[in-house]
Amino acid sequence: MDIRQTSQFDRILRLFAIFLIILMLLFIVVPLIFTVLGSFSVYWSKTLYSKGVTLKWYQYIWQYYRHTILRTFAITSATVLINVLLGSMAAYKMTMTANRNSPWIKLAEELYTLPMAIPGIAIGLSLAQAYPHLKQIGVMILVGHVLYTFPIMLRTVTGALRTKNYAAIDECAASLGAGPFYRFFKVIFPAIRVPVISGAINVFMLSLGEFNITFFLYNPFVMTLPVGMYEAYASLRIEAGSAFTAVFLLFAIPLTILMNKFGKSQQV
Amino acid sequence: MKKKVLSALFIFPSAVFFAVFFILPLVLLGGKSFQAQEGGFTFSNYTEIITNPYYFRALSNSIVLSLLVTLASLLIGGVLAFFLARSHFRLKPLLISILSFPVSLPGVVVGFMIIILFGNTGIIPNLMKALTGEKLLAIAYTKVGVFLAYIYFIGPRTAITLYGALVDFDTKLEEAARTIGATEHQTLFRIVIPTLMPSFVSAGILAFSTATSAFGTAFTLANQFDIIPIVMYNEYTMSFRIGKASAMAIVIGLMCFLLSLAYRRIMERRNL
Repeated sequence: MDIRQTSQFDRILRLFAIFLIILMLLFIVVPLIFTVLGSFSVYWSKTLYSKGVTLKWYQYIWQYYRHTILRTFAITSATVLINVLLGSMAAYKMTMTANRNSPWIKLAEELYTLPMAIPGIAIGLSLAQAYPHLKQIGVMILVGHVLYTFPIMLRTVTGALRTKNYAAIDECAASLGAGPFYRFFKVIFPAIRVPVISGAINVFMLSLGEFNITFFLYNPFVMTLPVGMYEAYASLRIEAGSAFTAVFLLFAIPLTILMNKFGKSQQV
Repeated sequence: MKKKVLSALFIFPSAVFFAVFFILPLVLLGGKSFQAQEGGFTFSNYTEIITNPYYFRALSNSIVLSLLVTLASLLIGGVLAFFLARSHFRLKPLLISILSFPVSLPGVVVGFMIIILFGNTGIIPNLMKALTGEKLLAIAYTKVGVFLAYIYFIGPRTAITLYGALVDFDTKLEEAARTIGATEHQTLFRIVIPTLMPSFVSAGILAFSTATSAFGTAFTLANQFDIIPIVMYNEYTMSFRIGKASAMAIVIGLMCFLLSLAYRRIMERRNL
């Protein structure tokens, strides 16, 4: 009697879990599919294609937001490059033996991970107020993106540098007479290129989708994809918004797959 | 000496960058938050968040929304994580990939997903019309819409975080309880849940601070619903009340910072 009851309880719990998973999957996937379907619709109301199929929304996006898309990739690529360099250099300095117990290094590490803990809107507002002139030229978006993604890069690289005894390798190279730059670029950096690439993909993804900071820092001439999408949602038809989102997904989905692949290969 | 200077070059660029573009702007933001609209020092930017009904409603909306999202995410995430950790099937990696996708979407896109589902020409209202003859559930731009949008990305994120903790959970504890005669749900409530409590608390903290600081999603949807990040943006761009906006940014920033400290404390203790 008692045993039957528990198994029944268990079965109900299991059914509930399966139901919830299916519901959650539908909740996530259905709007993504309809976004893509809707982007080809001439007029989306009760039905999708009763007024026909078209590519005009994509043409519209290409015509008016081509520069935004290209600029986004310029900003995102620059963010990745700067952070690969700044982040792995800082990580190298922080993990090598001589510096391991220095209070300054500990402080730097705390400071460097702080942008993750502080909301984007607070960072965005502080940057917009501090450097209004730079905002007008349009370089503040890049600054915001570098700041926002720096912790991810730093964490990935310090994590990698701490797993194996790179400090010993570094000392070994130093005892043979290699200078710090030679050691970093010729010894350490080649050895950690896999985590660096995985961090770089992460940074790329975060920068591509960043909205909260960017929204305080863009100007009408320099903006990014998410800001453009917001504009489209607010002022254009739902079909155009769908087309813009589909363009974004075209980049975001392969990147996510790539990111998952890298995450797995690193665990092995 | 020369060596020291050379090796300092590694950390120097990032240190300067952080000093100029992180610390200094935040200090200036703090300064601005104590500045009255006409100039001069004041605390009123902070006190008004409590005393002015408009700001206070936004603050309480933010807190209530974040609490509800946290509770719902822990419930959904908990059930999903338990199921995923305990069962094995071929499509599990795919399922996990799909669940982790919304985490990397920009907030505005999440808002748009809710418009696709629950907007005026959305899938659900059209479906309801076909079923009942009435356009029901066109709730994208209401409180419920914002809540659902937050669940869209915070729910799966909580599930993934908890899944990580559950996979590491030592099932021997559970087996031990079972061998001395505990029933399955006794084991669940007396052994499994208490052991995993820290993971649930930290996942909850993460969910709460993500919800309070989220902006893009609510901004796409919130026409009739004021929460602190939206009000802060409006004060800054439409009313030019820089002091008020700065004070609100400091309040949200401090809240999330303290939560992240608490989160780290819990994680460190768990790893001991």
